[in-house]
Amino acid sequence: MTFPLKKLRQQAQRIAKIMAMIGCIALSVHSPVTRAEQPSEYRLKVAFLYNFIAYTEWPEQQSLNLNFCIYGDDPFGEHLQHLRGKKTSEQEIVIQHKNTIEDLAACQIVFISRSVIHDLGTILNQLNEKPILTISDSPNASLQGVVINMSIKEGKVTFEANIARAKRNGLKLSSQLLRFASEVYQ
Amino acid sequence: MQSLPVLAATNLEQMSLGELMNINVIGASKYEQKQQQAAAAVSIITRKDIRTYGWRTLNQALASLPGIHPTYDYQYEYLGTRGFGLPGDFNTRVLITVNGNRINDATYDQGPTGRDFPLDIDLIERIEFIPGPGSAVYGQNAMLGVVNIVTRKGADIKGAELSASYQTAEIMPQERVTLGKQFDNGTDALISFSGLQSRGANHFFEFGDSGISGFAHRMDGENVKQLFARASHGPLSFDFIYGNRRKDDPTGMFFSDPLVAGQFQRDQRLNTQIQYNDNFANNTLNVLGRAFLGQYRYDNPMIYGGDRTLSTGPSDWHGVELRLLSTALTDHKLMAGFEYQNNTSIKQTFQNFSSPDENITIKSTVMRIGVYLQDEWRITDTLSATVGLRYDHNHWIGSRLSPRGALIWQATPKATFKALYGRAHRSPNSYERDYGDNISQVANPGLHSESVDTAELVADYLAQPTLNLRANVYAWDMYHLIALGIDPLSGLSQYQQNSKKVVARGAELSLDKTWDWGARLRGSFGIQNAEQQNSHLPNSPYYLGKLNFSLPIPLITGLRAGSELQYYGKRKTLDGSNTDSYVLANLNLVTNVPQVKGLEASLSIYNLFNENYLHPAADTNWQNTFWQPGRTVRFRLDYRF
Repeated sequence: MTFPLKKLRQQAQRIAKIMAMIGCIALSVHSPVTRAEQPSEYRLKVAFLYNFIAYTEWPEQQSLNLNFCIYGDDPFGEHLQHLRGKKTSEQEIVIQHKNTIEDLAACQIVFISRSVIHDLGTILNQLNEKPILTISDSPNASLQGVVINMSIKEGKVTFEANIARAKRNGLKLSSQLLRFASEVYQ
Repeated sequence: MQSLPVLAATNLEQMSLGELMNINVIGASKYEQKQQQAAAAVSIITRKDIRTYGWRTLNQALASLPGIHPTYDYQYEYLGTRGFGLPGDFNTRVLITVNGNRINDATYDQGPTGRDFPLDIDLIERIEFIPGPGSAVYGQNAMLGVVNIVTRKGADIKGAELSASYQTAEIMPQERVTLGKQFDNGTDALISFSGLQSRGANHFFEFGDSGISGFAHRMDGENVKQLFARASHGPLSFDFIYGNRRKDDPTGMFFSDPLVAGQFQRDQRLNTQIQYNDNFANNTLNVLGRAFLGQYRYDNPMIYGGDRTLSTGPSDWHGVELRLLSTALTDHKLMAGFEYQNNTSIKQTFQNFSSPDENITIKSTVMRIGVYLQDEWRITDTLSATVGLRYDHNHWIGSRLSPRGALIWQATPKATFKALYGRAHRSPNSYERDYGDNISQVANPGLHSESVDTAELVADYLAQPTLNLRANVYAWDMYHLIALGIDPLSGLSQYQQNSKKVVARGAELSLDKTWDWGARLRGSFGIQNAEQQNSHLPNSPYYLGKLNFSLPIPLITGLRAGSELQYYGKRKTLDGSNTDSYVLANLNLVTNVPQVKGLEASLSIYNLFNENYLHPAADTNWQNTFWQPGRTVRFRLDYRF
């Protein structure tokens, strides 16, 4: 049987622990963090696009421009201005909208929008083994051969990468990029 | 510590990928947003969390969530949910599934959450806990919650994983070998073997009315063997889970002879399924079909007055499920399904090797069918509704209807409100209904199903891109509860239905905060009151507090600490007294070993403060309460190549 003094001390310890817990919660709620605008989905995805481009290496490039082509309906709208004219090491990003598959051969990056995703097989066939970084945001697209595919999980943007396809297209994706991929197909 | 970057829409391009990945978006596209807006207060535990906190069992992982209070009786681990955790209840009111396959067995309906759960916790990719009634989709047992487990894939292993650990107090080595790969043709395969051999600690037990007490010397041993295999190709997938767990019994469960060695519980579970999952009609129709098969084996040798006895409870079942999910109708997500399960053989035996005249064998079978329909209707951009209904039939209970309804209102881009209602049920299991040896228990074939009505309000508030707050209040009323009582004719134990409903009311507050320097805090506080006839339920704490904090340790690359602190209020025991409230702390340190590529080391300290605390026992125990394990340390190495 415990004597009362010990019991009392235990009680005091217990209360101290609980207070510590409550203190911790209170602190975290009122931490002085800048209240900031939350970006919309496609605003944030543009920032991801920039990172994807920056962390990709193309085989020997002559062109001074990186042609970023959007195939299908453009979901980014005005947000693309944050990409326009941006430079990655040597090259400048140039944004183009394309309406036919044949026109895509001149691009270094192709964003395959959801409006044309039903035609994904044909598009990928056309771009196969060309040094083109394909990007999309449709379920399972990487599994089917798109190099980088974004999705939203629990409100956050995540992406998967198909490095087998990247290799076949002659592209090198940086490990800095791949370590953040939710899934890497190889 | 760095401060959060200002997310002014202009400088996102300057942020690193790691920072970007921590930003929540608003106005995500329709389909994905609906995924987030599940009609329940869903909690998700990922593999990363399991690694960060060093959790050893499903029960430990779930204990970090709001509304969960675990119980351990040196036989099994039990999952108390929202105030309900009757001693002696084998988690029959929570449904456990792995990749959609039901794990609760056909003899006892037990939802395994301890080491009798047949899958190694390290093979889990994600645990989804859906509190509240799930019968409108999942059928019976989903009364207080559904634990849905998604396993890892071969593509995630990419080679081999070896894991070995040693735990001090229990003298417990544990090991795992996993091989996995995704082949060039798209086939994904994984196979894994796990084992655990524990000598166990020597604990002191009192044996109630027998007047006996003493140290149970070397009677707490445990041995686990597990096999998991999984393969998928295109729309087809196959998984196979086998677990064999033997736990020595130091407590003399079911009033067997105290402090006598050789008494144990052995649970063997085999769950396998083939699944077909594909999209049709321009991705507007998803078809899921699966065929499953399950086997459960239970062996419980006990000694009564020196006589050696053996109880067993094997059961076999199989079945099919078909589910169609259509988004063809604008703003509607329609789901229709059919499930059939045939419990082809349920056998319960008792053998007394000294007096064979006491031997009994009870056989039963039962076939269950269920049909369900659900619609998620997006009424406006900010308002959606879910309505669902499931019809279940089996010849023990006849027909049951389980309806469900939810309204989800995205009031502002940051605030979402949900109003939920659901009814769920459970059919008596064969043990409750059929087992009778006329020595300890008499059967009760007249048992009907029990049911629960639940109403809940949930508010989610995204205070900052990195801070989620949630508040929910709930009320559940349980009718015709099946519990152990006394048969007035024989004076023996019998499972009976209580005419008095169980009434519970509760509220939970939780938060989830991440920092861009890599730390994360999850915390919750819950108040719950569950009573029957104005009497508080046993083993039901009023207050629960949970705090999980993980952070990268500065200056040491790759070292991460995960600490948890849990507060549990007092719990009533069967003799009317209360166990004291307690605070449990666990600490886990995990790091990559920089000298060896692919090597990871971790050190875990469970019950850090060596807190002495009690859990209530059941009326099948000699004891009224059990002292819980003290501090123990685990060292673990994982090697990937």
